[in-house]
Amino acid sequence: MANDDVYLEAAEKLGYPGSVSCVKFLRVLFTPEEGKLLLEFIAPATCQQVAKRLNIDEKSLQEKLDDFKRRRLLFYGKTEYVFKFGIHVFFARIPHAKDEYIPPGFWQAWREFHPEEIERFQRGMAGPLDGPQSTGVPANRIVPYRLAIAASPKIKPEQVLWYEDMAQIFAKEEQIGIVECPCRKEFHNCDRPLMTCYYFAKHTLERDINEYSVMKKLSVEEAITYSDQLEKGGLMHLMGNYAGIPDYVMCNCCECCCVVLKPAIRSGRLRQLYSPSRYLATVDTDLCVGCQECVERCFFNAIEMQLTLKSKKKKAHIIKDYCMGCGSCVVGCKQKALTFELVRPPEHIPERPPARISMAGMPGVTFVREETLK
Amino acid sequence: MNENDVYSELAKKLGAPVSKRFLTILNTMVTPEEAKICLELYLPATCPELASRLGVDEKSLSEKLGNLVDRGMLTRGKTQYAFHTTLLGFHHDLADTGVHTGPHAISQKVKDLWADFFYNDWSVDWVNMASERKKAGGHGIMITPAIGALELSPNISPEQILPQENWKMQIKAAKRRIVAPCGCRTLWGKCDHPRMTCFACFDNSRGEYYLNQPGRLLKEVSLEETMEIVRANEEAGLVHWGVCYCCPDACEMLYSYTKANRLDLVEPNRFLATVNVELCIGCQDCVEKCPFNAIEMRKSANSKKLKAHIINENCKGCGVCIVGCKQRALRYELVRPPEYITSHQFKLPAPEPVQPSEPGKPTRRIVVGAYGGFYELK
Repeated sequence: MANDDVYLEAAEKLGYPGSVSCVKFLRVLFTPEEGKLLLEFIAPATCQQVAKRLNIDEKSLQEKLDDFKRRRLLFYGKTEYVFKFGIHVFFARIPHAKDEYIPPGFWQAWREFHPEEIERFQRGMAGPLDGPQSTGVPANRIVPYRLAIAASPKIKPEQVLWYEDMAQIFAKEEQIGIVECPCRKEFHNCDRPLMTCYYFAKHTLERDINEYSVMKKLSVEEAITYSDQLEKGGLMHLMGNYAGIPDYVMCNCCECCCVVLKPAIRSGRLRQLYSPSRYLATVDTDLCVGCQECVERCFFNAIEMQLTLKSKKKKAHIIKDYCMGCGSCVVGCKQKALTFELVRPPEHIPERPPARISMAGMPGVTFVREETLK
Repeated sequence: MNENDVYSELAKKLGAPVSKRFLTILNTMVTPEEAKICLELYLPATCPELASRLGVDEKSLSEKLGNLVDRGMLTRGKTQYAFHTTLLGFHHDLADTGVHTGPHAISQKVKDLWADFFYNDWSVDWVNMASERKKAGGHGIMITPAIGALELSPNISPEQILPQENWKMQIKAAKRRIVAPCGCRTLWGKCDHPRMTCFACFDNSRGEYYLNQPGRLLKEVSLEETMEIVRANEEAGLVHWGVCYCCPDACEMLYSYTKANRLDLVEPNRFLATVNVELCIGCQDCVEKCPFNAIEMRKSANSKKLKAHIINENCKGCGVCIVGCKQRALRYELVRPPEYITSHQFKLPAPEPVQPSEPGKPTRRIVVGAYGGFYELK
C-alpha cells in the first residue's frame, strides 16, 4: 500500500472519498503506519483483538493506543476503541488535547479543509440525512436561556420542563467538564466566551479530565455560572432533540464561528436540523427604544425593525416563523422590552432520544456515544 | 357698536384669521369696555391724551391701562400705550414678556383657548402666510446651525462660519442677555421640552422694560449661564431661529409646517448633517430628534443593524442630530457658498401701503415690531 493510499482509504471511510484537502488534513494527524493501525479500528475492537489479528505484541499496541488517546484520534470505552466518526469529530476533539499533542500545522490544515466541508454541507451532500432527520424531526433542539425564562413574568416555574432548564439539566449530570470551543478558538470571528463546550460522558470524562485532555471539571454551580455568562454573551445551547439531558456534549454555538450552525443558517436548512424551543420572544413596543441590540444578537434574522404608529423610531418586531426561542434577545434587551411566551406543548420535544444522534446536526456524521462501546 | 363687533374689530386690527375661537379668546380676556379702550389705542397715545379724548378721569384710566398691559392686551413705551399691530406681537407679549404669577397671571382657561385657536385655526394660517410669501418670491425661516454641532465638526474651520451663522459669537458680543419663556410652549405647548429657552433681549429693546416688573419670568443671565441654556436647548433637540428655540410640538411655524407636511417652507442653511456609518450603532436617537424627518434607518453592509441615513433634501442643517449623537457618528458638511445666505435669507415681500379704512380716519403709522415694542413707542 503506497503512503497516500492509507490517507485515501481513511478519507473515504470518514466520509470524504477522493478529497485532496481531507487527505492533507489527515496527513497532519498521523503517519502512514499509524493510519494503517487506526484503520484496524474502523469497527469497534479491543486492543487484544487487534493485537491478535495483526500478530503483534499487545503491550506495545496498548502504548500506541494510549498515545492515540492523548492525541485524541480514537474514541474509547472501557475496552473497545473506534476510529470511524467522520472528519468533524477530529476537529471538535483534537483541540482538547494537551498542547504538546496537537500536531503542528493542525489549524492550518483544518482551515484549508473546512470550506470544502461547509460547501458539501450546504449542498446537503455530506451524506444522507439519516436517522431522525429523515422522519422530519430535527436531530437537535435549542435549549431556552435560563436567564430569559427568569426574565419572563408570563412564564410560571411549573410550566418549565426540567429538561429545558439549564440548572436542572446540570444538576442531573454525574460529571461536568468544560473546554474551549474549537470553532471559536480557531475562527475567532467574534469575541463571545470561549469556555463553552460542556462534556458529560460518564465513563471517560474522569480520564479525559485528568489524563487525556485539557478539560476542566465543573461543579453544578460552576456549570450554571458559565452557562449564565455565555447566555449574556449570546450563545445557543444546543443538544439532542429529546426529553432528557445531553449525555455526551452540549455545544454552545454562535452563528459566525460554529462549523455547523453557521452553514446550517446559511444553507437555509436550519429548521431541518434544529428544533426551536417551546418559547417565543415577544416585544413590548412601548418599552422598546429601538436600539437594535436584539437585531444584532439574533442569529436567525428573526427580528426586524418596523415603523409603529406612536414613534418616529422603528421598533423591534419578531418574525415568528424565524424565532427559534433561544432567548438571546430577551437577555440582551436592556429595556426589558422582550420576554418569552410559551407557545408549544410539552409534546413538542420528543420523549425518546433518536436512535442515533447526529453530531450537532452534521449530516452523515453520526456520533456514537462512548458508553455504547464496551 | 355691539359687543361682538368690538371683538371682531380688534381681531381685524391684528390681522387675525377669521376665527370664532379667537373671538372667544378676546371675549374671555377683556370686557367690551376694555376692548373699546384697546381699539382707541390703535393709534398710540399717552394716558392724558386718551383721558381727555374719552372724557374720563386720568388716574383711573392709568390704572386700567397698566392692568391691560399686565394682561398682555396693550404694549407700552415710556409714556405711550398702544394696541398690538400683529397677532404674533399679541401672542408674545402675552406669553414671553407677560405675567405668569400674581393677580394678572394668564389663567389656564385663557391658555386652553389659545391652544384651541392655535392648533385648529392659526396654524393653518401660518402655512398659508408662508406659502403666499414663497409664491411672492420671499423666503422662509432659516435655522441657525447649532453651536454644539459646529463644535463637533472639526472639518469646518471657524473662518468658514459667517457672522450671521455664528450664534456663539453673537452671544459673546451682546452687552445684555435676557432669557424668557418660550411663548408657544408656555401658552399652549403640551410637550416636555424646557420652557425657559428663548431670549427676550440681545442688546435690543425687547424685554428690558419688563425685566423687573412683577409676575414676569424674564431673567437677566451671564454669558456662562447663556451658554449653558443654549447647550441644554440644543441637547433637548430644540432648533434655533431668531431668538427662539423651537420644537415641532408647539412652535407657531414648525408645528404648523410639520402638521401640514410643508417643511419645504423652512429654508435649509449652508450646513448638512452627514453620518459616519462605521460609528453609527443604530440607536435611532437622531431619527427621533430630527424635526424635519430627514433621517431614515437603512440597511448597511457589514451589519445586521439598520444605520442612520440622511435624506439630504429634507435636512435643514439644524444640527440637532449631531448634538444628540452619543457615538459622535454625525457631523456637519458645509455644502453651500456664502452667497447663499444673502440670496436665501428670511424676507417678507414689501408690504402694501396701508389704505385708510374710512376716509378722514387716521391710519396707524408706527408698525410696532412683531414682538411688540417698548422702545418703538414714545
